[in-house]
Amino acid sequence: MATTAAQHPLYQAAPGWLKAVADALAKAGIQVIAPVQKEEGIVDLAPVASLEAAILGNGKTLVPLKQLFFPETEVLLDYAKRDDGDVALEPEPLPAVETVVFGPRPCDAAALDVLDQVFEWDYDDVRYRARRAHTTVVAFACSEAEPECFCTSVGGNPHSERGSDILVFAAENGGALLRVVTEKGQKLIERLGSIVQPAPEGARPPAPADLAPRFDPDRVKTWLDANFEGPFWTEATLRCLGCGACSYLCPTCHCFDIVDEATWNGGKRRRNWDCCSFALFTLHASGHNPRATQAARYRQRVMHKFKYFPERFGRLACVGCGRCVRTCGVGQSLVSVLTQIEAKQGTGD
Amino acid sequence: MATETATLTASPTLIPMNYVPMKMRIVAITPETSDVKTFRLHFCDEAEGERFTFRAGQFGLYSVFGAGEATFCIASAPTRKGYIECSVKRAGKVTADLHESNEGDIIGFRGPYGNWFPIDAMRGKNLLFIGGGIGLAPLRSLIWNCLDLRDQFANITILYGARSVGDLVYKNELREWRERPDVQTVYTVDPGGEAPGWDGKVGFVPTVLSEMKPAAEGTMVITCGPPIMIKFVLASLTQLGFPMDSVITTLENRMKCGIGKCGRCNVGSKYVCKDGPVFRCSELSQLPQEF
Amino acid sequence: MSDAATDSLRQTAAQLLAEGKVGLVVGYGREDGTPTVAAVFVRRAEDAARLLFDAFCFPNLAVYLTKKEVRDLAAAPQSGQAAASSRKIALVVKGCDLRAVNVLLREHVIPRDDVVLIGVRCAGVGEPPLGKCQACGVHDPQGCDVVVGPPVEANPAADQRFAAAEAIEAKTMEERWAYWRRHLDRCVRCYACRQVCPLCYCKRCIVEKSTPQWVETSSHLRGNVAWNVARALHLTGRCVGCGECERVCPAGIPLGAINQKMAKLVHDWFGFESGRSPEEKAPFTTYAPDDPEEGIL
Repeated sequence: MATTAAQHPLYQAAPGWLKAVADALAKAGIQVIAPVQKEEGIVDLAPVASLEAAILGNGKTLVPLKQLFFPETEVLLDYAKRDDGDVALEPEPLPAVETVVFGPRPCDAAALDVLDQVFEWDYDDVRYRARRAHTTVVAFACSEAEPECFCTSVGGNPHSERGSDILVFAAENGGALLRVVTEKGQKLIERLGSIVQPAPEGARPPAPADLAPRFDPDRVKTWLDANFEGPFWTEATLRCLGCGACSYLCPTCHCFDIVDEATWNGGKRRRNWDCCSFALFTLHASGHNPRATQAARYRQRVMHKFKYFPERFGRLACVGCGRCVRTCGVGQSLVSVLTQIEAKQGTGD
Repeated sequence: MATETATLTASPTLIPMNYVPMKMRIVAITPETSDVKTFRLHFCDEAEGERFTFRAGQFGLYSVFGAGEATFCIASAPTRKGYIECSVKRAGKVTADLHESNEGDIIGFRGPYGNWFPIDAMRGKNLLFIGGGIGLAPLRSLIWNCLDLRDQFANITILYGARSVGDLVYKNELREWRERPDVQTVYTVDPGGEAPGWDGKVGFVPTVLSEMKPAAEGTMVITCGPPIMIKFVLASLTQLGFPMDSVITTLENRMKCGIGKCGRCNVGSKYVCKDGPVFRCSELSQLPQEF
Repeated sequence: MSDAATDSLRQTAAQLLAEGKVGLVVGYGREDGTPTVAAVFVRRAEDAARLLFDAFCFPNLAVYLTKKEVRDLAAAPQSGQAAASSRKIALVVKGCDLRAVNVLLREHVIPRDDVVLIGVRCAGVGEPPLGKCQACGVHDPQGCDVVVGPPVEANPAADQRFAAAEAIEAKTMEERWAYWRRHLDRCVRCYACRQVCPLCYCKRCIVEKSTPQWVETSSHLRGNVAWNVARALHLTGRCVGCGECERVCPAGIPLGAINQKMAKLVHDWFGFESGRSPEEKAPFTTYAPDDPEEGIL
């Protein structure tokens, strides 16, 4: 399903197009999800009946796009213990709601490429795949970066098409240019009928906002390759208190736990988000903990994103959205750690 | 960075995974020590049981419905059909619930996962098995596998030890192996772990190993046991001239999904559940020492 | 908040380190070019210039007294030395932070001799000042070894310190449940609230205990309510209202109100407020032979 850049046609939409889109999709029984204001200062994805109140301008949602494909908690199966001793197992039906999500930023969409590697490797996670198959991603390009953004440091950019089915460039007058990236995006365009038209010859999206890279991941990796041990890891992570906020709000973090929740005669088996920063993540029942200090756990986070995952899957496990920096209540900044590492690589430290 | 999106069509080689286990019935429970029991399991669905194959070294996620899943190796031999076995040390929630289970109870099983002992590379060689405590469980699968194909291997020696006589597992099979003319056995308990009537050695496994002075030539070593034992066994083997790539071990690590997705068993760029649990010791020294 | 406080802080810290009276100073700093104030860990007198104090010094640094790597750092020899001159930690505390330290002291988490308290007079953090600051009665921390900063006027609104709890008490039961349901639905179970709290220092938290699993780990509403209520209950009579839990919650849940409600109950029923002094006798951890014991049959 790969398409070349030349096959990514440009469409345009007139002001008011979002209302028409929401109506058309509702009529077709397709669920629309978009960022909405939940509380003061909290914007998050939710199903919407109309796109009028959707927050589609610059700015990231609280929880990234991954929540639609890899939810915080998800039932895998139900079990029921029978009187005769047998146990009835009922796999949870696969998600099958046709959905279009409007408004994720290009960084969140790019993260899907990272998540696809993990969930569709050797064993095909049927629940993740079902959600992916039934969801069309309409990302919105960024005209401005937020202070914590660093997508250009990790190979991304505010106009990246990676992971999207359609990339929207919203115009100030309320119209938009739409770049179709995949066949799925093309199908959505066809469904929208006269709401969108091919863009006129010579139409071009605006230039992306300038965002200077803050570090070079190749130089970071070179230092990581040689510095598993060393006092840096403790010194640079003293502030970290080992919560899961940075991981849970990270578009690419995907560690999970599987737990049973029992009632008297039955229960559910669930998959829940988990985090390598937690002290008990690697604790053996024997009491042995391979990562017994917060420094070792933080090192794992950095190594996994910038060394192990690239070695295994050929891409960084970070899209530079900056939520980790924005979210950390105690100022333990991943970007700061990475720039310190790059500086050390520079001085041969 | 590529601008193309990942393909969403499942490759035909991908195995669909919905995390739903197979149902197994406990048909026999053998207490091995004060805190270890061996469970023999039949497949509730006989057709599934007939289709089921695995190789020595692989593991599964066994579940007690209501308590959760836990990882144990498959301790029975792949050459023996119709059942699988696991040996479980009581340590936490799932293992405690398993220990409270009875014959006839239904549990779950997902597997086989992981890689396996390189039995092909072992053909024609002398085999030295070194086990400690419940670490004998994965070795036992391989030992019976090799004994069932005995003429494919040269000398077979089993060195096994535990903290005390009471902590030795598979006591009946230890006797069986000792009585076989085609197997050399050396059993030991830690100093202070003897009991009246114990006629094996007394000494830590690595110490007994050094005293045995096994020849490195043409020998593969397969070892499993507590981390501290492995550390000193490897030191003894190195002194005895064994190259680390002829020493094979199997790692225990905290696991959840068993299929390389949940991240828990990630060590360096490896996943113990996919690149292991069987590793050559030469590989292990390349990994960050976080296991 | 002024440069006078920053200057005094730096001088005090430099002196303590130079004289070998402490092995580590934990204070506020602003580094890495970001506007965020975070903890800095200073071991050498010449690095005291990293310290500062201003209206954005939000974090409660008392939590670092419960982090093993910080305690170990204080006791570690510095390069060139055979042994650390002292394993004591000097901690920069606002009045609210000091209350948390008082609880750590009364619960014997750290001996008083192991900590040097550098109090800072504080008129409130945040612009505008946070809710907790507007009702603060401890602008001038008492019981420190050193206090820096210009005097701050007493706060006439200190009796408003249960305002958040009272606002919710004014709702009907249905309104309250709708309110908490709306907020707790967003909880992602990151445990930032627990990790930032100086008084949540259990080696194994109740939610991490699996035999039995007292509190479900899943982030559905039922599990989220159980978690947040369990935490509030375990802090009852201990929480000092520093508000860090609410500040760091990524989901913007008004956690402080839950803890404040429990603190109000303890105040109303037992006449007790946590963290006033390290010698205080807390209602749930003190046995008195003449306890009324009305609830025991």
